[in-house]
Amino acid sequence: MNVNGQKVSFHSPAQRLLDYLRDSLELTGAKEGCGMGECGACTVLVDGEPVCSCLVLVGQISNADVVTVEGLAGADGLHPVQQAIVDCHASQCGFCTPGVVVSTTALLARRPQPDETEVREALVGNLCRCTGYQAIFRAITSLGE
Amino acid sequence: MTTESVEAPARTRYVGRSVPTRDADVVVTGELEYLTDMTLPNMLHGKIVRTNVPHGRLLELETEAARRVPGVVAVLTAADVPNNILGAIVPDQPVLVDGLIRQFGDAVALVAGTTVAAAEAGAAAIQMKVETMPAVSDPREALRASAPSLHDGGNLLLELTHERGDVDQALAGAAVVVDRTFLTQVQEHVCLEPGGGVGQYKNGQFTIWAGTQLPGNSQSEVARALMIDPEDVRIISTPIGGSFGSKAEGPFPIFLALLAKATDRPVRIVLTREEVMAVGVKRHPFRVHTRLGLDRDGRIVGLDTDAIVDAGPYAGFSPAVLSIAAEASTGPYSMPNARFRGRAAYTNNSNGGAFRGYGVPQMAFPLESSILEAAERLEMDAAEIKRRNILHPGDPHALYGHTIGPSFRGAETLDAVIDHPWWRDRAAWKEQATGPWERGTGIAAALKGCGYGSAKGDRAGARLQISIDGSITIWAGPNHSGQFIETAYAQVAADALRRPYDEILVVVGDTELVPESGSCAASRSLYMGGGAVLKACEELISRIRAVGLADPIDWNEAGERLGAKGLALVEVYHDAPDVTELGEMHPDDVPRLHPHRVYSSAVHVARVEVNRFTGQVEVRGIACAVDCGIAVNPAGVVGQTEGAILQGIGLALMEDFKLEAGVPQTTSLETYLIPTAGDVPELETIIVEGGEETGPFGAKGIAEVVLVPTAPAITAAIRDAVGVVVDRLPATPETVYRLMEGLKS
Repeated sequence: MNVNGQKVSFHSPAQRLLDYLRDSLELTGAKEGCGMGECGACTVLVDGEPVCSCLVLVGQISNADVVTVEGLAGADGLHPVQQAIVDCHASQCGFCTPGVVVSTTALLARRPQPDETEVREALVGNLCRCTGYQAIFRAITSLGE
Repeated sequence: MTTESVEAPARTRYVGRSVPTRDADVVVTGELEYLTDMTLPNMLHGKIVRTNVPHGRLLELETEAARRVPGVVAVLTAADVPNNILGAIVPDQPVLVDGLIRQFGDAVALVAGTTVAAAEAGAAAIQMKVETMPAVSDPREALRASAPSLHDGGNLLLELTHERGDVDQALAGAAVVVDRTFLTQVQEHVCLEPGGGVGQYKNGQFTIWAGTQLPGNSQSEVARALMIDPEDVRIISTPIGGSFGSKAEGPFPIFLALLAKATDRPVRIVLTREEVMAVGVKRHPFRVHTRLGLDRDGRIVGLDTDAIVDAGPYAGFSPAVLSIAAEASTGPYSMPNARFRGRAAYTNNSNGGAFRGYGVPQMAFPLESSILEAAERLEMDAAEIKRRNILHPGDPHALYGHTIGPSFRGAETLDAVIDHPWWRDRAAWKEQATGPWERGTGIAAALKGCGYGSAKGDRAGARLQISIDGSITIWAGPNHSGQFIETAYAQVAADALRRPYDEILVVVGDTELVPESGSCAASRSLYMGGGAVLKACEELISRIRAVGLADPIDWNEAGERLGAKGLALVEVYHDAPDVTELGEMHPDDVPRLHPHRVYSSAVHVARVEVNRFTGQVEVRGIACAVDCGIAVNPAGVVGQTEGAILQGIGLALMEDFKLEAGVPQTTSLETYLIPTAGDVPELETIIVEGGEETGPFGAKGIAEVVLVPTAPAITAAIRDAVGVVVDRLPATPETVYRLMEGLKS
């Protein structure tokens, strides 16, 4: 398995990907909000697809390429999605933000100029209790401008 | 976003600008370490053992098997709690149950293990012998003499009554009287972070990293339970993943302290979503009987409100919620006669606690719905009735009679929405309905006090240090839970000191560093904490003048001179101003009723579509005008407003924490539904500005009031669309469908 471009190995195939990332690799950007795939706070990219890392066992994806929120920023600064969220005040408590960033990154890789319906569909699995979502939509829209 | 500037402050460089929130750059990269992300060397993992009945007696607790589980380091029960009591207002809750079980999920034991799995295995090995008792699940039943008492002294936690004028006479002479009972549901906060933290005991000192909105109260509750000096307890309360009132109370910091002391190792407990759903505090459900009388000109002549509040098993903040609800029972309206009777009852249901709005949404729904019904019977426009009755500065408060302060802009806020195209053009919009979707528009208004209210000793501290190089650090505020508070404090300080914003470091949420600041609640973090920051800055400036420096200040020189004189550390306390104009209010009533001097207001217009075959409601747009004093950070005001509206939509249409005889039925996010990105309507925030003399740079608190009108505005729009009176929340498709069927028969 590769995580954020680094080859990693694991010992317990039955470990949840979320626990492996947080406890073994100390990548705590992915958060646990529910443990049942309802909230999206633990979203990471597995071979480019956004998945809830609480629902995946590491043994299921032993050859996969995993990217977490920590792996998105480049050497020269924040990923454009991250910068847009900062600029548009689209984060309040921030606990959902890593998952939102990852889901949005996956959407933009697939659809560089998404319409509003596509944005909503891409984020419908990422619960946010603080912002009311509109600021997140504004952040994503600002990337196309 | 529209901004109506009434009297913007003359000299501000940072106040009034949408500065990005301070930690945003580390939030978006996942680097910000929340309290539940923390690990310490040699750390153990804790698990809470809970009851699975809502009412009963704990007869035996068998812990020996648990102690033998490999990896289990400690098992604690009630016998291990030096002083087994808890409760901020009424100490009526045990830290760990030792006799009577009053809530499903009451904690009976704590287990610490070397791994989460060991702690869980230990918890599972604990055997409980419980005598189950029938649950007291209806607050009206609870108040009957025949009901089993959940506490010494019976199930009536608090009764609050007050009358101004003569309500019975006024209603007898009214042209119309709307007489109806309204029900609101239990709402769960659903902070994205379920919660948790780490406790450490070292050299006789406890450090507790736990998300709490009242770090000072957590500190004293830990000290009381462990019978130690509060100074030996340090609470670090930030950063946390959402709060909204949920992290204001409870035994959690005590659990960490007990385990850390018993094991002499750091202990982390991370709560599961299921635990928080089952036992976390909830928005109180209210049953409100309202009688509202108006004269033929649409003037309110009297209002009689009788509220029964389900407090759940423990008092918590229920007495305070009831008193805030009483004050808000007359809404933002003027009327000569009003009466309130409210009773909070103990039950075995969910534990009622603080939740954004603090009892006010539960009062606005009945009142606004009754005004709408009265308008229809008088064949008048609902907004026009609101306009005729809206409170103006200098009016007496309708229930208490104290004078409404000069910064209350209810009328301007109402007008901002009445002039909004969604309200103005509602008839044309309604006519364009297509297919099964009927259209409707609703309007609702609210007020809420800023701070705790008069005679509550509302006080916030701030500490400020100027270093030898002139740099500034400020320690202030109870907690940061997503509301830009350090950002806003830095903006206030930058303008007060006339220094660049980036040169001001702000630290919040640490009892060791921040002087007692009260709670991150009551719409007071900016209003009170910001007031303390401003006062600290003003004190620094006066010291700089006293050591002989004039403008423009040489900050290096100032740091050196103040440091040399031992004047570099400023510590101040800011006290909330109490009502000064008592008006008709009797002075003896001030300590009992805690009236506010400063109120914010919010008015919403909502447009909805209702499916006439299924009862499904889709919110298409909500515009909110908010009377915020001065918007220190307009993006922060918009963010609070938009987030509150979505929580209000949840309250109006979907969120419903269900219990059956005290047993939770909505146990996870699979069955408890909150608004998603798919449920967001068009939102608009209209900032109605104008300074409040007692707030920092004129600011008032607004994060609660903006949630209050959402539900009644939506239910008014449903009525406009399909003609039904929604008398209970949430207005699910089933509820609306049944109401529509009722119209046909």
